[in-house]
Amino acid sequence: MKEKVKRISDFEWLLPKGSRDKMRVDAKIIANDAVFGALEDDAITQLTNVACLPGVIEPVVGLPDMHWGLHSTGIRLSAP
Amino acid sequence: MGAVSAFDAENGIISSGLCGFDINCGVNAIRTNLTAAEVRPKMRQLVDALFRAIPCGVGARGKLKLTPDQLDEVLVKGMGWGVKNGYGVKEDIARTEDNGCMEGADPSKVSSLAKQRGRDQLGTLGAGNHFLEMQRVSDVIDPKFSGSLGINRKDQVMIMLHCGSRGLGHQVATDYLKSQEEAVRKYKIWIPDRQLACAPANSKEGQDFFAAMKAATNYSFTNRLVMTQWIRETFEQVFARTWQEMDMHTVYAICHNVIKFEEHKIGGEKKKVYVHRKGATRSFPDIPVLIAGTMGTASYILRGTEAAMEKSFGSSCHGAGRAMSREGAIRKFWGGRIKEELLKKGIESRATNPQVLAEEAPHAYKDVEEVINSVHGAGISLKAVRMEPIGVLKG
Repeated sequence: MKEKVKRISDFEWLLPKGSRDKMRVDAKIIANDAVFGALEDDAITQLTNVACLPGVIEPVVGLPDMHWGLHSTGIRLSAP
Repeated sequence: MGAVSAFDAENGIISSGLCGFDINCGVNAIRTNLTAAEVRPKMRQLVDALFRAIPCGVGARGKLKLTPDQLDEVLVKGMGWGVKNGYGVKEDIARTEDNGCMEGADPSKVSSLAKQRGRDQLGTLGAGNHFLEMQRVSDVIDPKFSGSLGINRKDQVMIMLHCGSRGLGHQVATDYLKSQEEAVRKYKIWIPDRQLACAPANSKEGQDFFAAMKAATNYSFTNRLVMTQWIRETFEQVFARTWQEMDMHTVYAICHNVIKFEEHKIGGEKKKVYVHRKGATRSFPDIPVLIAGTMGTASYILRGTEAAMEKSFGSSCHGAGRAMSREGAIRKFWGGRIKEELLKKGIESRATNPQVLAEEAPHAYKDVEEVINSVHGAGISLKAVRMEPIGVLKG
């Protein structure tokens, strides 16, 4: 997925809605080169998943602290 | 996750998955007029006293045990309950996102199991990435804005509290993930990932979750306010001065896993939409954005901007973001060693379980400086104050 991301500016990246099936809107990522370089493909895929949901408004925005896993911020699943 | 998405009020969805398990996990920043040089000699004593005052750890039970009616009041009134009962002051409310209370919370939408879990956990830190830190201001980057927050000089000591809605919020999320998995089938919504369980925004399943999420959000606001009170009392004991004399006011308090019904300009028109901030912080013009670093790394206070309203539905990042899984970090690092490393950097640390220090090791996270440079560069929030930890409590 990462290869489909286009640079818009020094700190903004675009993943157009045609990048995969069923994406309803564009996704955008806020990141400098260092952060973008380290970004996992899975995290970008997850962002495109959100862009597939009904009634989503353009754009879905990935922030530079994005990482794969919806539930890894906060307390652990198994032992809250 | 570290993302923000907005959904149409009529045709859109509300997703429990996109809010996350720790509803209103968030950050409070409290200032002091103490200097690092004054605090460091007493740091071990302070950290130990805080560790006694604030229950930490996975299943930590608190010193408060609420009756069912009291808990319902917390869920509806949020921080208003706290101030009425001697926790914090009115001014704390004014310096909290949504004034520490989301309107429209409905305790009847919170399961009895969630309530049972919440009864004795108010005023507890929890575990995982949650922490209580003493920090020193390392750089005042925007003196005008930081001055308006009462932060004026290098080496001023700040306190940062990072935690959420504990077992109650986790149970609300668990309950509604299940009900929304059913809603996905009922309303024939195609979702690419089970974790994105959702329901139409205007459906009963959607609105019930929203009302329960607001209740959990209010619980979390109150949780952090109760701890704020105990932090102040502990400082009073250790430094033998009143908290007012130490200027221990709330600078600001924010959420970073939450759904809000907000007005935004969409296609040139103002429209109310459901903004899902999952690992994201609200960034409204000239309102503080608090970024909790990870153990041993810097934290920031940023200034919210107009550009964020245009680019990111009034949102910015929330932290450093993991670069390595918890399991990976536990395999790679050893808690005792991390404690030593922190001490070498002049950071006193305490944790209920050394494993927590390993899984939250600074190396397991992205470089917070690059994350901040990114949001600053994009203009969705601007650097105001940089802080470095000098004392850490982990759950």
